[in-house]
Amino acid sequence: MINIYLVEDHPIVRYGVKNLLDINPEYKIVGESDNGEDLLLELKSKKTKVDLLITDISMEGMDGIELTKQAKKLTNGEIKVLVLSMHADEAYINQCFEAGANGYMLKDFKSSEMTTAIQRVAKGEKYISKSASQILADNYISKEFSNNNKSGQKIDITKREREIIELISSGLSNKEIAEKIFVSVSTVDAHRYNILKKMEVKNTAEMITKAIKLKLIVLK
Amino acid sequence: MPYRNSTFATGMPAKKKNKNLDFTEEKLFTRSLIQSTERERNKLAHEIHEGVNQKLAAAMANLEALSETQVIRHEDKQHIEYINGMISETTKELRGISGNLSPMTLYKFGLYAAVQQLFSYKTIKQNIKTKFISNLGSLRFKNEIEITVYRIVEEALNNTMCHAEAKKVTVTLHYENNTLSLLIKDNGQGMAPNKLGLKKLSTFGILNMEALAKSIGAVLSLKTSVGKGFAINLSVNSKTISYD
Repeated sequence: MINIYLVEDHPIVRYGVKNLLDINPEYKIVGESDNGEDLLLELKSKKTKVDLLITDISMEGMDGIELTKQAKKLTNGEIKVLVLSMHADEAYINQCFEAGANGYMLKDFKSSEMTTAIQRVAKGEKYISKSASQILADNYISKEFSNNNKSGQKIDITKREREIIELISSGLSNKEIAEKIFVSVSTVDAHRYNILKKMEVKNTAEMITKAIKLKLIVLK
Repeated sequence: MPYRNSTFATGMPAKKKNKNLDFTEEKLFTRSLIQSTERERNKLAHEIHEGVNQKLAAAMANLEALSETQVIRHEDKQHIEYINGMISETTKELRGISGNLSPMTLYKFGLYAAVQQLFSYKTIKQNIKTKFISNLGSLRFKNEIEITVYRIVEEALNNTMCHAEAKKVTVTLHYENNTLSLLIKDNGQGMAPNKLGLKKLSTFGILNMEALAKSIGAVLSLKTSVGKGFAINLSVNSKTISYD
């Protein structure tokens, strides 16, 4: 059972998402609100166990990015966060992952994708929905920084690591990657850790963007 | 290549008396015009983003939920999927319209992120190679500076897309010693400077860019010649500010 708390300031969307979540008996909606402060109070009181927060970004008062940071801080990173947003800009996606979010989905609901997102994020994996990863791909432009020539940076990744980046960018989970390339999940974890370190990036969104930028991978 | 400097091309008759006063008045007038236009655009974008699009998202979620129920036949499921596809496309289009009206990324994250996003909106479909060189990162400037520079980049990119017949466009946005400088350069067909009459300047949005630049006390110059593309240069004195 996954205990879900829903923060969304549009009642009509909240109702729609709830309807979608209600179908799955594995999900229990333990709370909902139109603002982040309510969830933070709930977390502070420790009365309700929340495994997963599904939150919007743009809200009156505290936004979803700040809420993610605070909820993560209050729970020592325990709570998992899936951002559900209308913002289709790379900057928003990156900021959410920087704040500690585990997943990012655009509000173009596909129930099957929502199920996959929740399952992965609840397990602590990172998830970017198909439409959001398409944005990262579309945003591929040759960026250069005039004061530090990052574009000239050479990253020495192995053939296997390149293969894993490609699989991650096509939306596969660590488990699926492990099955596909016949290694254990912990080996995939180790590869993933090494890739993030080598590429000097903090999260999957940055990794995919940078990999496309440096032409380490080509999205199909 | 000859330069054209904005100070000679305002399109407004200058009175000899109180020249400085006229300049300030003109600047203030343009600035307030920009502010009110941006306010209106923000309002419309907000209504699309927070109103129409959220309702469409809710409709999609409910249709998806309905499609998952047992009472729905297979062919109805397909029908629902088709409808949701249409709603999804509509949402995407509206998102584009709202982004063009008012760049939320600019207000939230600043010039660097917004220009980067603008690049992907404007140039992807045209298959024009883009290059963005910047040291701005997350630096923030006064709202009027950010929106004006953003609108100039937008106008210049529109120009490149519509008239330049360019294969490549480079935007450089650099901040140093309290000066924000912008250079937009394409490798298109360019134009003989003596053919740049008022009509062309207006069609190419250059008069508009000059007025925008003037409103923030910036200097805008244009460089072009046949076969050498267009280069637009702008520099403005500005301090950075911090947003919490």
